Amino acid sequence: MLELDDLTVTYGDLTAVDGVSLNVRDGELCCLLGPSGSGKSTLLRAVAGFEPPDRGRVRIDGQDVTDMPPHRRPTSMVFQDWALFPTKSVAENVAFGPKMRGVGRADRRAAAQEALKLVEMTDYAEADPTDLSGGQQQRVALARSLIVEPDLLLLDEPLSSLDRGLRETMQVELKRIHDRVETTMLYVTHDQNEAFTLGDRLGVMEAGRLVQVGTPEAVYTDPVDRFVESFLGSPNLITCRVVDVDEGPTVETPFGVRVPAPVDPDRLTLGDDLVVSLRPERLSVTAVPAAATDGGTGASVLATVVERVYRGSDVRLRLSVDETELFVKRPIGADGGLAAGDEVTVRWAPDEATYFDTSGARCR
Amino acid sequence: MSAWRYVREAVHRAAGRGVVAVLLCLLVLPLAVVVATAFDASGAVAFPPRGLSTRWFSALLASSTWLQALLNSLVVATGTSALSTAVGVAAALGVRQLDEGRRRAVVALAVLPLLVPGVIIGVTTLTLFSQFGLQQSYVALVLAHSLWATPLAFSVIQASFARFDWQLHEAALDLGATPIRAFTGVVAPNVRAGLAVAALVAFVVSLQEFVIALFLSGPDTRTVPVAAWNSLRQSLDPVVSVVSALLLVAVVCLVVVVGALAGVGRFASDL
Amino acid sequence: MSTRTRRLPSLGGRRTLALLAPLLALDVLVFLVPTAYLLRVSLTARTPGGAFVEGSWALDGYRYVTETSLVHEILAFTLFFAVLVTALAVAVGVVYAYAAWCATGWTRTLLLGGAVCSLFTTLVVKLFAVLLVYSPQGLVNDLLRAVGLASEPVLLVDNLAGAVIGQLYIVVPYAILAVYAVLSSLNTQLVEAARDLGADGSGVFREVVLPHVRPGIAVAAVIAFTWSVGAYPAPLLLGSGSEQTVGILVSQLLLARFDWPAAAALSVVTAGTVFGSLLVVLWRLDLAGGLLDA
Repeated sequence: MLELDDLTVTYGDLTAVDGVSLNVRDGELCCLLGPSGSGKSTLLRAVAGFEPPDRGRVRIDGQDVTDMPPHRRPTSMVFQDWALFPTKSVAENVAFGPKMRGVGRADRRAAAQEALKLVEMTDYAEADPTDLSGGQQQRVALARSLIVEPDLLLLDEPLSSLDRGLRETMQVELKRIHDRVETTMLYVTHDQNEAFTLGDRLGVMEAGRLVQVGTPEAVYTDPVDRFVESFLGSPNLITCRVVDVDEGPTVETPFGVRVPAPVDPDRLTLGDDLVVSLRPERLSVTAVPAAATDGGTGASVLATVVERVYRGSDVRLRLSVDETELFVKRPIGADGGLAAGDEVTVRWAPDEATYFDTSGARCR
Repeated sequence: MSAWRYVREAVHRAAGRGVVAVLLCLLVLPLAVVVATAFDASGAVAFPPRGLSTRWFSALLASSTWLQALLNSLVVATGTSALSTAVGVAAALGVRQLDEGRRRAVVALAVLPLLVPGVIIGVTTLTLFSQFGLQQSYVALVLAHSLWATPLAFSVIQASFARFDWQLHEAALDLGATPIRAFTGVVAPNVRAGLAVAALVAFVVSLQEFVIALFLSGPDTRTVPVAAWNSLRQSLDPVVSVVSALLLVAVVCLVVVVGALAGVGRFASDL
Repeated sequence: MSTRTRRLPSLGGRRTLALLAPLLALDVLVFLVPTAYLLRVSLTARTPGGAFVEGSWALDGYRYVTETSLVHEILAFTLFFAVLVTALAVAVGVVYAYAAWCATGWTRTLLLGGAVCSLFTTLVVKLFAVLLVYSPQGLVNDLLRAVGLASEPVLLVDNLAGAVIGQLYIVVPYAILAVYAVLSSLNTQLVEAARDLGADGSGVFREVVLPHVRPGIAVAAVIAFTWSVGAYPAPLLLGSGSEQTVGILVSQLLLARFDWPAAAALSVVTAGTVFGSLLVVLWRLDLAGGLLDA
């Protein structure tokens, strides 16, 4: 298992990784998710031994490897562009690790065949890696890293150079291989879907810091702050003003509607901003004639449909309320056949929204 | 994972660094020594110098032979630089429109003279030029030096053209610029550093070339390296140190300028 | 617009030719024609009275080359000398260029700057300095004695060692830069991948760097070899009288003995030997591909 303790990497004035502590359990596939420049790749390279940390320790299976050069760490890395050796055949690429460990020619060839079988690339053993497609190169890179039986496999956005369809196939494939070999994996990606598909747990990074770690479900349903909320794909972040604290906390939206905000009154100050996040799938939409007035428990507002996108599995609506845009996701058939230009009523339950104060911290 | 292996690797690394440091020293030591001896007060050409003086610089300024040699070198180097850069630019532009096979053939022809020892180039050009009484002229020297300087200038220019976005050039032509206007107005400003590097490289190649010049120059067109060689063959003249030091300083200045223009790394890999 | 696009191909062809004309003219007039003329001179009759007999056809020059045993010895020595210098220059070039590539910041600038300065220094100046530095009273001998590696002065000039050292100073900068140029296109991720998979420093060098740098080594070897076959000033200044190379002999025949047919024939034979051996070696090693690209 991997233990990171207060790991910090700086480049001059820039702190790329800032005091990250993280435990990855044996056999777990842990995804590091974050926008580009959030330090996730640097963190991975520090674990592999390519970036000397300024502070903190890296331990693998209890052994402190912080000062160990990359070639003696029990880790192996799959690079973003796979970094296959262009002067070697596929089989030679895969057999490279055993060769460096002094394994004899026959044994390492057999091991390479075995590893290529795992990634279903046996037919290409003698091929030149530069002749392979992206997906095939990706498989070879994986086999080359797995053959050395690392205690920890590091993957640095290995699928980001592939096109969408292939990426999804490879995600499934990776999951299958992980279930088979049970190697501990640390997987870096900026793609939320990928992290959710693959990760047993995921860690969200922002500006060098690890802001939240948990199962995909826990992180999605219970984001710690506004950054995680918006990074996980919530487009409806509405900055409201606190207009009442003591008589049941209430906020005023920029489009003038007052709605209850079930936040602990101690955390609110009259006149401050409060960001309300409305998940698209938790908004309901009804055509105006059918809409009654506010039933008391929910909040509602009148909006205009700007665009309706049929996506097969669901329908996405883009609505406008004055200057504000709201995005809504509804199951097929649940939007009543709306079209652009229609007037609608949008409703949400204040209990199901999430709330953040001006610093971005979660209030509820 | 034994400690012994760790120690052995550290020793290897240190030994590797030591070897490279020694190589660097050996490479530049002679150059440093030349500069030092130029300031030696005694007449003996020796190192380390005994007492500093600039009197050999005065001796150089008083010598008409050496001044003539310096002038010759400058004339030939300037001519070579101008000719090679012009030919190199034209060829680099022309080669872009050729298919792979013909481009290789042209590049091979251009590079071929670089693979011929200077002695042979000197002999061949001397035998032919002497038929036209050109053997001791500036023209002969410039042409022969251009034979070496042009492929170098050409490859530097080609490398900088490769980094240029040619859609800008097409846009200029499309907007009605003549080919010459399009080149001077759009291409040249963007590849200025490359052109400067090419011109400097050609200049320095000519300035330091010796073997061809030995065959092709006469008493009136003798360049500095040839004059220095003649002087060395007779006696160790301290003025040689001074001239060498001057040449060296000129070269270092040019390398610094070029390095600033293009970055030493890129310059070194373009060459 | 449309008329212009249609007209461009034919115009383009003529323009391409016009752009390439200066280069072709230079190479033809100053290189190919003189080479052809040299070939012609090598086939004229020798005469004690002048350079050669105009308009005559003879094999005198080649007979001189094939029948004089001194010429054979000089040819053999020249090839030995060139192979020795080439091997050393390539070794130094690869080590130095690899060190420069591995280095960062100032160290890299220093290493490359040193090589470029040496490259652009007149070889006369360099040889003159080498003479000073390597002479028995020179700095290198002082250092050797100071470190205790030698008690007596080591003779490093006026012998084969001197000629080789001098020639190395001429070709090593080219070898370094030829290798570096290729090395600079090596993707650092490949090195990281190799380290990650357990390769130590020498493993990375052997498995990743050397295979990548083969075209650069070919260029370095070709330059070192051809220029050393034509070595002239280095053996003359830093060797003893017995380090006679083809270059020295050619210049003697041409400038001192005015025996142009012999000089021309010897030049032709030398150039032929160089190109022949290069073609064979490059073809055998299958390195020619990288040569024209560099």
